[in-house]
Amino acid sequence: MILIMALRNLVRNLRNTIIILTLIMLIIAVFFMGNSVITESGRRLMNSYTESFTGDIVIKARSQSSISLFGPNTPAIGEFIPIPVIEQYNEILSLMEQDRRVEALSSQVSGAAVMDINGRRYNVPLFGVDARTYFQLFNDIEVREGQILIPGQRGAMISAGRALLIERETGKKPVIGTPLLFSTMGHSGFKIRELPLVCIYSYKNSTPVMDEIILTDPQTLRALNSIMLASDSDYTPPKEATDLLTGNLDSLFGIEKSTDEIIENGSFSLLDDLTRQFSLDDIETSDEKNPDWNGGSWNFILLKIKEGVSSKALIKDLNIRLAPYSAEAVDWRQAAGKSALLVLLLKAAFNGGLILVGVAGIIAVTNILLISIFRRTGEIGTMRALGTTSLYIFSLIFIENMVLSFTAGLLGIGTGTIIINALNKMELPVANQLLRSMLGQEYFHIEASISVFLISLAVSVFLGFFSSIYPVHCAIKVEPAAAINKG
Amino acid sequence: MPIITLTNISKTYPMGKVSVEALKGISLEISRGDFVAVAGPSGSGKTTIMNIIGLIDKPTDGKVIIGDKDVSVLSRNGLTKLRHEKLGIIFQSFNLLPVLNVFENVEFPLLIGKDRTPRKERREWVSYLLDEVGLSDRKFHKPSELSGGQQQRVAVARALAARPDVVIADEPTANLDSETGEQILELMKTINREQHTTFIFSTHDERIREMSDHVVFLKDGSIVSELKAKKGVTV
Repeated sequence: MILIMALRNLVRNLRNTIIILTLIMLIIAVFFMGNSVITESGRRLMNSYTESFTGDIVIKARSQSSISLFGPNTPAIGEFIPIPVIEQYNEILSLMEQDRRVEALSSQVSGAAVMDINGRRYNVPLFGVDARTYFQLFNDIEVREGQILIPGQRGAMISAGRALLIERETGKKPVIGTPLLFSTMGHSGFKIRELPLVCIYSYKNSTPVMDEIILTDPQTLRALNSIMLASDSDYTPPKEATDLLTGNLDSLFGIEKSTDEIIENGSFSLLDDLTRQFSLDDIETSDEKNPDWNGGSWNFILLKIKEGVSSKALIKDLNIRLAPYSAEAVDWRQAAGKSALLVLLLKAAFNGGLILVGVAGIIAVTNILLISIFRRTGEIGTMRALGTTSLYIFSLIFIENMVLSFTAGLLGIGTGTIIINALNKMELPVANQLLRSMLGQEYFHIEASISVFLISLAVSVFLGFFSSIYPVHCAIKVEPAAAINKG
Repeated sequence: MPIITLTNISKTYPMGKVSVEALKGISLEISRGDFVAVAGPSGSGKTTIMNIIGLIDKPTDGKVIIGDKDVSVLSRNGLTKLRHEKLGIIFQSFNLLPVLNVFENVEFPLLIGKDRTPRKERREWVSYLLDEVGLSDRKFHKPSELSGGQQQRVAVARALAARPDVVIADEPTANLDSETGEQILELMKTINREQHTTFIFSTHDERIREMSDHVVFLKDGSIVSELKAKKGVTV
């Protein structure tokens, strides 16, 4: 009976019903469309990022500042913040390789440099990648020209987007073999390295941020970053050289010979030997001689997890296991840095705006409901006089408003779906670069998801709920005497 | 034992800076099965006393006992429960619920209490009541589709639906033509006789007074005389 009464009351107060219905419907339609766009762009962004350069989970060294694959997220003016290397890399790698939830993994060194090509300079993010595993991990990378880096090879890969930009700006198309000059400035001074262009590649779902990335061999990047270099070559320094490490330090300065005498007598040979072995030129030479040269420090381990494995749960578990190694696991979004956070920020800003609209909507609906309650005071008083409890009156008014807001929610979602489908059919080009990078597509096309549908419906019900609180409070305060006074 | 006892009831309404004393220390006892008329000119306090008996209003002073319950100690919910269990109310302007049809209006009091009469039994009882008030053929009509007399008959049936001990009616014939008013009174008298339901109604209609077996005359908020026809006693 109470539901029948509620429904009939809605029909009887048709004018109020239509006003409230329209108001909530419009709010929900905007909410539904906006969140569909944001959710879709978030999903597309996640797919293109995880399949192209972040993986599902990234392991990095713990650091006080926020670090992404592109480096520190907070720009520090006049200060150089190095990306910390993973200590005990081998132990962590071994742990990850044994973890059954991990499908594939690769390692990466990151940095930034100024790149000179065809007489122009570009600030570029550099990813020094482990060529043995990187391209199996990220099969969204497609070769346009040249060949991908092979393990031990020195070289750089640029995106087709970057190549196009260079061609547009210099009037000269970058070709395979073009020398690229990278320079960096860090704590240990100014570094320059030259690398040949070995490949022009593209991502299946490219974004402007991804087009910026330049893939290089890790050793060149380590040299540019002045981080630890290592080799698995079997060079053993002579005993005289290692004795210097364990000998009496005072004796180093206690020799009675002059520098000229030392040089004349050839006593410099041991130091010279060490210097030669560790000089950059020799390293590069050694690198070329040993194509399997893969040792050294890494900034990140990128993981792709198996289908069905919860990324959140795995990160939580890994963070417990990685704590003793001063390392931590983060999700793709954190690893991607500011570019991925943009969608979240837009979502927060959009929903923040909608909350304001929602509050205004709640106030408007509350007022309309209050008017409706005042008009029905006599009727409510009669029900009270007949012996209905406060709970009954509460339920009646509440059901009315819930039915109304639920219906308005469905209509709002329906309207939003119709508008989205119409826009999809129009195949509108996305001209704005920011929108294009968010949507990951050149033409507007949005697929509404079940989760957005359910959230929108929940929001409409919440809207109805909050709008009902005060009117219901007023309704249950109506006394039976109102039946006589206003009946 | 009286079904309703009023002891020294006063009611004062504040009207701006002054107060209006609507009832001045009224005491009254109503027996079970009585057909009671509360008579008096306009402003004598008839409606006020009906509202106090019907638990719609509270006295400023004095005690109201319904059955064996002192209503002054009851909470808002307690009053609602007692009203539902013991009282049926007929309003001057019918007060039918506009969204419900005739049958549903009569059924309504049976659906709001804690005691759930089985559906079949409930519907039979409602049909019986509608038969009694002569509205079987108007079951599915909305109140707005009925005449005033028909609406008041529905209100009588509704007041009887929860099988109350007492039916209170504030000027039930005031909005009806004399012929229809007479029919309603006949109906109430019949139910009073057949079901021994106590009826208390306010009126200034001479005919009602003649039909009553207990008449209470009010003037300026006080009882000026009380006639119990059966016993032929004037107080």
